[in-house]
Amino acid sequence: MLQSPISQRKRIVLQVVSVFLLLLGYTLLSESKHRENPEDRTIPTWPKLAEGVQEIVATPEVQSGLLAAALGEDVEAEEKEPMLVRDIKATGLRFLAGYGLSVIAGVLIGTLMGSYLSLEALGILPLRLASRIIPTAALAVFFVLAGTGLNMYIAMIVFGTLPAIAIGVAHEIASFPRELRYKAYTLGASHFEVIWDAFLPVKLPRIIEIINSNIGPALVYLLAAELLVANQGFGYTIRVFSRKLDMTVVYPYLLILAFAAFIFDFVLKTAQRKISPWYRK
Amino acid sequence: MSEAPAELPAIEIRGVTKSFGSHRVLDTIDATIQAGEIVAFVGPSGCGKSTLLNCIVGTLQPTDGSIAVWDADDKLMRVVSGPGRDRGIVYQRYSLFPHLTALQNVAFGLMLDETSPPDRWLKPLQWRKLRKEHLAKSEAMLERVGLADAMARYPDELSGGMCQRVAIAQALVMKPKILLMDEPFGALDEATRESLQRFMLELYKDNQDAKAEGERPQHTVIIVTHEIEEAIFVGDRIIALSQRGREPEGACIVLDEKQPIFAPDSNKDLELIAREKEKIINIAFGAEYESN
Repeated sequence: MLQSPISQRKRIVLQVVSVFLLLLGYTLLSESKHRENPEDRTIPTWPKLAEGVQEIVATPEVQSGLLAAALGEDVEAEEKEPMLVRDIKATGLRFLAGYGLSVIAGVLIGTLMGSYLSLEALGILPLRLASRIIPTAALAVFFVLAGTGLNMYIAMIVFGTLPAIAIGVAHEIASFPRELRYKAYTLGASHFEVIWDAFLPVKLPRIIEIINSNIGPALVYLLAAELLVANQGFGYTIRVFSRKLDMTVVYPYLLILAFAAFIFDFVLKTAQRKISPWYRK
Repeated sequence: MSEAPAELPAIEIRGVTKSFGSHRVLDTIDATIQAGEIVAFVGPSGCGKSTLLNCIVGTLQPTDGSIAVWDADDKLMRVVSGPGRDRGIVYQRYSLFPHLTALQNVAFGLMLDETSPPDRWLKPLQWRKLRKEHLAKSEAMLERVGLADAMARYPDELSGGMCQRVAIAQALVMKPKILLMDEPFGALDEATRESLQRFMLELYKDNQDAKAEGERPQHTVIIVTHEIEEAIFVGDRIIALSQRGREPEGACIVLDEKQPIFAPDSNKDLELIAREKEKIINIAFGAEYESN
């Protein structure tokens, strides 16, 4: 029968098999490419990938900007940091500043819109419109308005994720059971207390889910901007090595980004469990 | 020992009419509810008894007429314009805050009523001391409704009957001037329902004791129910609403009378209840009751 349950043991075995197949498939593919062309770097063999990883974490002896200069990019100021550290700092700062601002403003706007119907009426159409505009396509606008510094990345992430967060939070707050709202008032709550002690704690687990589900889009917008205009950061490095068709650095970078997304997800889910132990999906 | 005044009005319902669009539900309802009464609103489904209750809660506004509630020292009458601290409410469901344990749910109202967030943030020591008092009061109230063992559980982990007990404790700990209950036992099994009904009789006994002491009775209760036996058993006064034979005009009061009073630990006098029930059905429900 469809959807028949399987044992935990079988599940784990199958998961191990899937990872093994993935690794085996890659090994075979890269070996065959290697036989065709020993210099191939589009599907690099494991030793070549290891060289790429070495390059990522090693402290550069020469200025890393030379490579970019050779490709006609802006020359970097001299740096003595490994590529990975430099990129984590650059991309991390942009992400935290941009997404942090987006979350704070989005939750605030969403809470106000969910609590006051006139603010909802005022805000909903502009937010819907903004959420339909593709931020990557509007990059030139941010470029013109905010320059190419940190502000542009912040603007990009905020524009891309704030509407979705605000609309989502407003919807959650608006769906607070009205009997409980009445109840809070009969217990002597002020308007602020209804928001602070009833709406927000009851809806917090859902708000955390909304924050979690918008991390993906935020990273997409940030990386897109970096691919186009940055001179350091994950997007920049991926662009530089992609142009050379050198995947020995690109693949590890993609995995690091995927891993970061896993970490964010894990942290937020753990936080949700700790903050709202009563919450069941 | 001073004599308590015989008439101590708590709620005045004056000419209340309620329409939804062109559909009139209530037609010029007039009633005065005395402090210490436990009034049951009964009537066929759709007769507007919950609508009338929601007008008293303040979550619905009458289309015409007004509802006024006497303030704490019976000096001033205030027209109801929204839900307020003086009227507690127990709904059939959705009565508890899911993020708080049973104990925290009961203490929640004390916190909202007696403190404000700045108080709690700026005077944490004072707040901690007060919080202890709140929790002690709430524990005592939960013990009274028979939930001493379930205080640390979340609503999600409580049965329907336990949730309603917590909801009643949550309302009673606030000592509201008026307690409003909308089908509070409607979703419960027979045994749980009867034990909660008997608890309501204890409230009535509290009132009688207070009157005997010459004090103001504590509990004024309106309970909306579709169960006529429940209304007779729990209430000391029944107000029946019906729109039978007058659909376009909306419902009016077709019966308003005192009911026999049961002691909390007495046997249910089933014969007496059956006689009263038949009378009420004849007046408020008519022949269609059998088909319901």
